[in-house]
Amino acid sequence: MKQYWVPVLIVLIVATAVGWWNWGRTSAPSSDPIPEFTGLDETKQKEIWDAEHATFEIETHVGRKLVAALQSRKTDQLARFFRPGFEGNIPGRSHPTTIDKSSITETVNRAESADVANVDADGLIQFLITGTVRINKIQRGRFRVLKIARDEGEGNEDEWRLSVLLTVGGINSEGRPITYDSHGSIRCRFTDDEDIVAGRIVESWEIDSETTRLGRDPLMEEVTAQFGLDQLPIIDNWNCDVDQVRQYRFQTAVEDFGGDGVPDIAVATADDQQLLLQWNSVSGKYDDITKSAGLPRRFETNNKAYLACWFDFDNDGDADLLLGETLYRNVDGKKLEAVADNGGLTFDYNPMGCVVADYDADGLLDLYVLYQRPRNETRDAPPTWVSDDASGAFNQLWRNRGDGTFVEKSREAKATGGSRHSFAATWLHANDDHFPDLYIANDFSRNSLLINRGDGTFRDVAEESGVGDFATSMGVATGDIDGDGTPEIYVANMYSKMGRRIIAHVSEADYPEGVYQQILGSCAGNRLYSNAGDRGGYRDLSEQLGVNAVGWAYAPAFIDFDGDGRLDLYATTGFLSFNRRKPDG
Amino acid sequence: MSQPLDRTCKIEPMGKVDTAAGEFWTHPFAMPKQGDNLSAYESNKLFLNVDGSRFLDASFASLADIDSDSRSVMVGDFDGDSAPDLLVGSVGGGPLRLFLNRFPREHHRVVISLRGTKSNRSAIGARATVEISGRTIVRDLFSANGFMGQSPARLNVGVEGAQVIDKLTIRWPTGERQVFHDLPVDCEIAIVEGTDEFRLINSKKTE
Repeated sequence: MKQYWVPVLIVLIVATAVGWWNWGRTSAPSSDPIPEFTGLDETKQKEIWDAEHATFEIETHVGRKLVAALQSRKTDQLARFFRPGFEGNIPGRSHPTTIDKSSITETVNRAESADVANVDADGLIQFLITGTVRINKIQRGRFRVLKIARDEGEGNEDEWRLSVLLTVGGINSEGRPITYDSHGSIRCRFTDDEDIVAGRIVESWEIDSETTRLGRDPLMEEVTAQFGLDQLPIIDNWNCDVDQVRQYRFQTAVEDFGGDGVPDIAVATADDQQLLLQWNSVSGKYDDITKSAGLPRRFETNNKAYLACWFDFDNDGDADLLLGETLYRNVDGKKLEAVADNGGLTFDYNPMGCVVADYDADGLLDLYVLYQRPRNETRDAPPTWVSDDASGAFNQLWRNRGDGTFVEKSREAKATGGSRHSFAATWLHANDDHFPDLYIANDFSRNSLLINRGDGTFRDVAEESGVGDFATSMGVATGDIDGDGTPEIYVANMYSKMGRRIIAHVSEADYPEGVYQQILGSCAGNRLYSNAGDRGGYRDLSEQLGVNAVGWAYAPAFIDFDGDGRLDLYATTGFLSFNRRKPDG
Repeated sequence: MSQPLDRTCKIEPMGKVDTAAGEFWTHPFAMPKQGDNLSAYESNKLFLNVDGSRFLDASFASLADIDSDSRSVMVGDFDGDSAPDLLVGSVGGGPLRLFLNRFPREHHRVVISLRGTKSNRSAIGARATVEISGRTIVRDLFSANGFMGQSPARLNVGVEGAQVIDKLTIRWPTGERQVFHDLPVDCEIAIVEGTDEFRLINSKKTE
């Protein structure tokens, strides 16, 4: 994440914010179960304000200058932050922990080892300079406050305890990418903002760990232009007016449409455009074959439906396509032909996506469609803050009859997922049987794990299994990452260091019942639920495994990039970026 | 700016706002409408699974750590070299960006193509259990859609240093099982439900 200059807790409530913005003035009414809450105690408000303001001042006036001084290796400029009598602790470097993985070498020195040293300011400065000396050209750096609390100080001065993360990145003398992270605790002493600006506020710094990561060659290569994907007629938030900006612009589905073994790409946009892109082995680029495949460039929808999903619903061996809200049959890998009466498929308002599996094991692929809200009902208030299980919309389960038609079974199958705001879902084998189960990631309310009972119905076990935490979820992926034969569930949520800082100042007692847990959830970060092997009990291991802090996260995917038989992870993130020169919320 | 202070998340500033240094105080609901950044320019992450009990953040060396407000990621073999590539969907900075896998070719892989006969023809929902040198790798076949982007359903299984698959068990979506022994790697193995034969297919390069 970059540039969280705003000192207060947007992200704790972003879900509500986004939902409200999304809903505009056309959302469903919902009961409000929350008692009137006039706000936090004023002392608490002041405490948060002071701490966040101090954080902002320290990150700006100390952090940026400290990184700049490190960049220029100027010890005198580094020395100006340390108070007389400064005391530091640094880990020894004689017993590093090293990992070599896919051409990346990670070296960690932790303060747990016996050779921790007490140092003065010069010693700590030398430690930082020697730690980053291999970064020949420092290209970026941040000094972040992860936690902050005030102690009573002497006289007019306040003493503050900070947990900090210093990150510096760039290239080494051979041009290889290299990063350096240092985690530690700092004690600062200052009277006011002017003291912070003047700089000499750090009275102790205990470095818990330093991590250096060196890459050899880039692990991926971007070929967007080379493959002819750089000029697509899809509106881009970064090239349009503010009032045209959308949180979501299109859905994409990738599959081999033509049967040449190379993936083709189907896109439907929120602006009613559709695109079919096919690999051309002669030109070495993707061709736009929308028209030649028989698709109009613009599609009709009364439902704001821009679904994109390939599935061989007729079992004839080629990939058929649901695009916009129309079901097309693949004709010889050359044409797409609309299915009569759309196969009976009808969609509700603004589906967020769909996922495919044969839930009843009858040899035919079925379709599960996700919804976040009903259509055209008016209300002025935003969605409820606390667990919104009422204002969303039911999802659809379309059972494939095998005669080119589908029938909607969600209620009968107990698979509606409730009136929640469903953003994403994944089929998985959560238990030992061959019937696919379904995990649903919801915004505003808890997630669902629907266990397929094998009789055409599902049972939601999210709460008893420990995978239903409220966490404003927006994406999900599954795969067996620990090699025990059962899939883990990785859920994309929101995270911010700002949120984590502020949550440390409040507690359950500060809010009406249930609210604190949900605030906690909305800055939880991504979660990785691992089945402990007892068939039903999951534990969140995201922090332990190092995959928690991603940001305002969307789709994740498990991929074995390097072929070692272990699933790696790619995680997308970032809400709305407008201007690199502006502060970030 | 706002805090979890009441249901409208609204609070007035309680001290001096240091605007000279870029501090600001606004209402988050209004931010995107006003063109103000909100969780902006966050970089996508690429984590490498070290040993099943920790991941290494390799984003910095990936070149795929773009900060384009990404929403979706589709995984597929776009250049025919069997190594999985990434198509990333974003709402800013280019809608679809393609990243080819340039990881060191240190390990072997196998692509398992299944054709259902009693099961759905795509064999979606099948489970492949690959046994190599005392290690067991379990992969389920689904067309993953992490959010607004569907990947093709493929079983692309890394087998580390193994030069042969000792045993492959396919559990078809119907629940039927088939077992194969001593299969080669670095190829595509095509299996039809209910037949003991399998076919080897070489991959096609597009670059």
